[in-house]
Amino acid sequence: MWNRIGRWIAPALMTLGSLAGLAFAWSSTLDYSRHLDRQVHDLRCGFVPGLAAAPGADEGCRAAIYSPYAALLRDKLWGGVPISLFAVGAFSCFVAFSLYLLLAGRGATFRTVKTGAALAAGPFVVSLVMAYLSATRLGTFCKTCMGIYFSSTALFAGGLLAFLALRRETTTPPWSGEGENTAAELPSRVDGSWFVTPLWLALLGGAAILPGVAYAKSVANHDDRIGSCGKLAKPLGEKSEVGLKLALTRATSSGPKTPVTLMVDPLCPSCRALHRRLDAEGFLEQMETTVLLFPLDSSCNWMVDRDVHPGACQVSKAMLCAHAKGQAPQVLEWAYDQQDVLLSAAKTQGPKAVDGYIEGSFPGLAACMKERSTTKKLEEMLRFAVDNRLPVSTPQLFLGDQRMCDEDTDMGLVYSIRKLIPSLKARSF
Amino acid sequence: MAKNGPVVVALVAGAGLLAGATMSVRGEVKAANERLVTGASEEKPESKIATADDAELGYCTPEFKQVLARVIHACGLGGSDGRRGCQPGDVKTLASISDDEFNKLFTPLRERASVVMFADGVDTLDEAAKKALNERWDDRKGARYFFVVARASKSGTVDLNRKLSQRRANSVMFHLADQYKDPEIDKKVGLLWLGNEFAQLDKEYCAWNVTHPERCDAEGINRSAFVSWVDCRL
Repeated sequence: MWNRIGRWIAPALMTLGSLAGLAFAWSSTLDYSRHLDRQVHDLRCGFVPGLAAAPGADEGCRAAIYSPYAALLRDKLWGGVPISLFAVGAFSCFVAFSLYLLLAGRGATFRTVKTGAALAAGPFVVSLVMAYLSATRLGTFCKTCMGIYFSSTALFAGGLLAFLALRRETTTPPWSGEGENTAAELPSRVDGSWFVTPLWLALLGGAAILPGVAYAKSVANHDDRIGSCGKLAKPLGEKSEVGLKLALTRATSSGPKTPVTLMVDPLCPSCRALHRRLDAEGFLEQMETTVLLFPLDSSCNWMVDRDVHPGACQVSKAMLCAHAKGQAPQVLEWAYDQQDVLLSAAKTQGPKAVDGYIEGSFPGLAACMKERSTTKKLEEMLRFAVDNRLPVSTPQLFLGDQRMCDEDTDMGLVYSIRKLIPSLKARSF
Repeated sequence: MAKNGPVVVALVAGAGLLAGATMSVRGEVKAANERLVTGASEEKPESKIATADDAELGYCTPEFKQVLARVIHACGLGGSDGRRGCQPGDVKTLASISDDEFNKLFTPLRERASVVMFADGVDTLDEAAKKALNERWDDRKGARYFFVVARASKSGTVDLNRKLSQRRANSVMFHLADQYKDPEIDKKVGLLWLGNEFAQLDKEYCAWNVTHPERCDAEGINRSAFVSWVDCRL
């Protein structure tokens, strides 16, 4: 039994895991690379690598590729080097290794099998960390990433089985009679050279890094495009009361703060994503943030002809009313947390249903929300967009007067912010 | 298989996969770089994102906008020259429409507008007028222009009524300027004074939002300033 596991099952499992991991990582990297043209593309987000996701079914993958955990060197290269590219290299190496085990059988030395089994734990540990980050930081799982996690698990399981079979080989005496073959029937396995371990490590390291180097060398320079999306013609003055000056993060920074303006809709998923990315990157704590509300809800915004985010007007008014009590950041955070619930309630029961949720979490705002002065404040924020001829979209981020291009607020966020305001530092992970 | 056969096969397979994957990624990056330069789209073109603008409601018919545009450009509503407001003669010429047609243009504004009424021969705003003006001004929504169309009743001479209606229009303007201190008010408020020469209102307008319904009659309704935001783009 263990001879068969060691000879066939473990190497086959490792081979399958490596090939599947390679396919998922390659598919994910292609998706990532496609976005280097600064356009928005459909993603091949699914359990079948390379197959395009159904419309709207790629939110998890989109959240993942725009997250701080999707790439390395993001402050050195627009979009950074996708982490899946390292997986492409590593899994290629594991394909080679597991194929060798499969073909060599007992010709593989003890040291080779042990090294391979130990190295197979690497992708599994990385997958555990990434799955934890997905669950706790992103709140969603990307199917392609899950494909990599499952593949890593298969690879690790194969490595573990290979190791256990190897132990069995060394601890079970040939005369015990266990197993299908006796020692006399099997060729002897040699220890092998000590050189094997560093050789495989070097191969794995080289294979992991090589695609990243090739990628970094071929990515175009985006510098002349960053900051090309215009400036505010009529920025908010120092004493303007149109925007809400809010501390949007609990994290603190002692250094000087950069004035930024965030135009958001509290029920817009992209706004939530940008907010959380700015927070996760450590930018928010270095920013003096003025929030302008721009609900994509036709009940208060004359610029939208359909309710993209029904209920957003009420939440925006709740924020304006809560501002007087110093609770506007809490309302925004709550709206982002409860976004799916609020949107669903507004779509199924009508926008007024949102009022009940607001009253439940922030009692005492209802009267203020109905006041004409609150509507007027919101209209003044909407007029800011008109006066500056801004696109009818959210979120929009302004560093001082400079409007950041939409594509620079997702994949290229860290690089672009550092280009425009070098004093802003991203948190390292 | 030769002794080194498995190693060779495994290394060739691994290297081949690595090279193939790397080349295809590089190919994708290069294609993205090309699209970056040419601006070509790989997929179906996205719908164009609108630019934030003033409101445009259904009553902004071509005829309405034509009158609006002429008044804005010719009567100083744009605030670009020192001149402010249009006199009855200007309006007649610019609008190129009859009195009734002119009044009909404003019919869709019934719920949006107020008719600020004045006492006979008076051009000052009373409390009801100020309240109505403030309410209307605060109810801007997405509108770009605020129209003030002042009139006078038939009693008195043409010249006297022309001047009286001008003073009524100015009273509205001064109140708004004083109340709201808006530095761009000149670019928002359009003043027209019609005296008793053009587009007199009939008694039916007493059913609109008038400040003194108790004294509204065929004469009283014209001792007034019609005020409303206009939700049209030009």
